[in-house]
Amino acid sequence: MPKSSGPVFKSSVARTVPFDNSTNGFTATEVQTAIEEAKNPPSGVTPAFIFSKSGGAGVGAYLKTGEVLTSNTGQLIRGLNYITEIDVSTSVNQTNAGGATIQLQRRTGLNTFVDIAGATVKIPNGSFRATNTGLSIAIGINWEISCYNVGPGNMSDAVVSLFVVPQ
Amino acid sequence: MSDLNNSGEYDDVMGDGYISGPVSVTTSQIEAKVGGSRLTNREALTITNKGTAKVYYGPTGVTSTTGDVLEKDQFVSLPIGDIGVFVITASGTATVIVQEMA
Repeated sequence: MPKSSGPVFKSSVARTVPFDNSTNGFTATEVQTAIEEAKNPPSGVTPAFIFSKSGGAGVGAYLKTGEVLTSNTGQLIRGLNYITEIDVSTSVNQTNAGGATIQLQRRTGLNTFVDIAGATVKIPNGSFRATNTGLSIAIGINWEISCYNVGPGNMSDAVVSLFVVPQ
Repeated sequence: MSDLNNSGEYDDVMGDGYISGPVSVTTSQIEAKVGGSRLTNREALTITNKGTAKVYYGPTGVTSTTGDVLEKDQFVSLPIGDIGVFVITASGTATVIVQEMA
């Protein structure tokens, strides 16, 4: 009787397991990519708050996340994330030649807020809104985030939105 | 019940040899074997991709287009004897662990 060495056998890994994306909005077609897509939504998600200020926001003015001007309090983002996009919109076109720049700040505990490097968005002269995209700015664990107008121009009825993805 | 051969061994298991070792895979094909030659009376071969690059396996002349793919940490077990099985990457390098059984 001839020896039997068995059939060809090939193991499965997540990348070789098919994933049906026809019912869920995913773009992935296999499990590995689907899990990674669930962890890092391609467009990012926005935290459950925005920065805004009704009326004028002069140079150095902090925007609010509620009733409080966040010059000495901020809004918490849990875990480790990346800021991927910052949007700002106002009700009046910029008239200052230098435009107006929004700067995000952060603190942990009761420390002083400090600028987050690169976390800015600038409305140029003559425009009323701006978007800073393609960012990958790391946010530390449990940072409080605040936001203020660097200037040189003033802003009117500014609204600032953030988009983040988990690290 | 399996037949016994003249040595008293069962015919449905292999007991004549078992070797294992790494093979470095590049964009030029290389035979998946342990050492300089195939195990004598080889009956089975397994290839496990321990690298991050995809590895493609097949007969001599294999390419990333004609070969079957092994993803990272994936393995294949082939009931193959004295016939060469070759591996190649599309780009980059990978290390596979090759085991031969006789």
